[in-house]
Amino acid sequence: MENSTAVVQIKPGDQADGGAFALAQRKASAYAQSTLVPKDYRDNVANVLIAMEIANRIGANELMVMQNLYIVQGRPSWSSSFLIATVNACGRFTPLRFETQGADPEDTNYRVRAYADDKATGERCNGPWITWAMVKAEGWLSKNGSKWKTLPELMFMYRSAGFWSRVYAPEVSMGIHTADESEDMAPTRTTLVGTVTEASRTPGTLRQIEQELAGAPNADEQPATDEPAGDAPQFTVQEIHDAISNAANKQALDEAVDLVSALPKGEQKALYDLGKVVAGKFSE
Amino acid sequence: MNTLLQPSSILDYAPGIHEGVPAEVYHRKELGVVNCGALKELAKTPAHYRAWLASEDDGDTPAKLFGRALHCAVLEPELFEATYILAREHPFSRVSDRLRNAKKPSQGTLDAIAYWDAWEVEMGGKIEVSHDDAITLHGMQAAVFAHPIAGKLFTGGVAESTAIWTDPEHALLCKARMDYYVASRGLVIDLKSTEDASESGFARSVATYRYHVQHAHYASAFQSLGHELRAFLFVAVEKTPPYAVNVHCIDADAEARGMELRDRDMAKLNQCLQTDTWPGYEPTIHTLSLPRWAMND
Repeated sequence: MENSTAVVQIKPGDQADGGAFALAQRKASAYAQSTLVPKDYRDNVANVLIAMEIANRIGANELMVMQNLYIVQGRPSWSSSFLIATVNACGRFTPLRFETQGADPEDTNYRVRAYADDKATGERCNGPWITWAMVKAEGWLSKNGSKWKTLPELMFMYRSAGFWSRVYAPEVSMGIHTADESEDMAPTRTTLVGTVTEASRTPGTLRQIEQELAGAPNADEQPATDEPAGDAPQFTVQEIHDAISNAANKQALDEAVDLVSALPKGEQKALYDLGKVVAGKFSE
Repeated sequence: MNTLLQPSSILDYAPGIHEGVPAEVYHRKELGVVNCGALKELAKTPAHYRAWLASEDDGDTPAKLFGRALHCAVLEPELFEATYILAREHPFSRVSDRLRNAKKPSQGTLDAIAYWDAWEVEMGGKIEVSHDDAITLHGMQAAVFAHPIAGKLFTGGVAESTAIWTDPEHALLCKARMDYYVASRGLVIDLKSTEDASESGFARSVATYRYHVQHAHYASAFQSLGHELRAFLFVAVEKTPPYAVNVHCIDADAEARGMELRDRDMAKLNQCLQTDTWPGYEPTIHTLSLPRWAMND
């Protein structure tokens, strides 16, 4: 990884050296004005200074660092491809390779690990296995928009490379996770499962609704009989009348009144009126 | 509270799903009562929300009138003829109050007064729909009813029912008016007229008009009231021939984002209510970038 020729080396204690820091700041200001740097760095001198510091420490080009260091959920995170490129270029190891078990990435027994040989000793360095059990247990699969659902093979390789570098070349990543890892590890949005409609949780629900509707009449058709439409339970007018009259509480009343809509229109008004009278009993 | 009395406010109703809540009662703006309109204003700034709250009703614009007529034609077709009347070409101009009260009106004025009085009687309080609008309405209605799914959604349910509940997390009173609720199927259906009902086109409408926040608001109602909501469906119908119809249900990501936005704005309202401060935009100088499309012009 080539260092840029005009890098200002910011070393510990440099902040006390006003000249070096001012020079770095001027350079950072210039970067921050550039349209070539990503959005997280544009007009943000502080972010650029941090990226320059990281570039100096790992001996990488500053612009390259800025283009590959993302801010995900407030954390600086490497792009996975940059991390792999950095490991490949560091010179201590042979290029990262991947060992897979199983042919189908969607098979539950499929697993992947990254490996490389230490050039000095010839020792093979195996990273930890990434398995579907781990993916599920860590909650990576259930995240909204999870790429594990759409690109599992690539995610296995990226994740195994991230884990490998953290074990064998931590100085390369400096403990910074990859962007994919940061997304997976970010706290889940605070939505309760109960507030999410069934159809979006289980897309099969929509197909089920389509099937139910297949047998229902069209809105512009007159009902052929006085029978309730569709799959509604077959309650008689008298049964619903009794359920409303004898409702023990507000919830029981609501459930009984809900049944009225399945009756022929001519029968509905009287029962809704009865429902209003009984409702008064619970709200006084 | 006895619901048989004529309620004048949403506050007069018990939590639940109610039929027959008068439109003027539902649409009355009340401080701290949250509906989709309030959430839309809060998303701008609390100052916008207060201004909206204090403003008079905008009245009936042609677009609003058309929207209401479409809802009636599709959701309550049995009421359409009793509510709307086809406008005709009138042989006389409308007569102003000054002319009506003239001491010696001309014969022409008397004829015009007689014509308009007869027309008022014939109208019987109905709302006029122009010939062009009537053709469009008929086309849109027929397209919805002919659609193999949309045509069957508007059956066995209730139009314009009102949900009233207290949000458990923010302790704010909420209300929502559902286009069509089919309790027996656990479905809420919202009818939307649009320029583009395709998946990509309507997705843009969802983002622009915050339909995902509406979705989140309704889902909150059903969770709080303990009613089942299997799906919240949008029936999108285009405003021009062939009046193409498409049925959509937003995915879990969009739903989660809607909930996130609603949650943010509810928290904002709570804070404003507690401190009685209603700030506008942040008082700072903002750097403004052109949208990407403008850079490529």
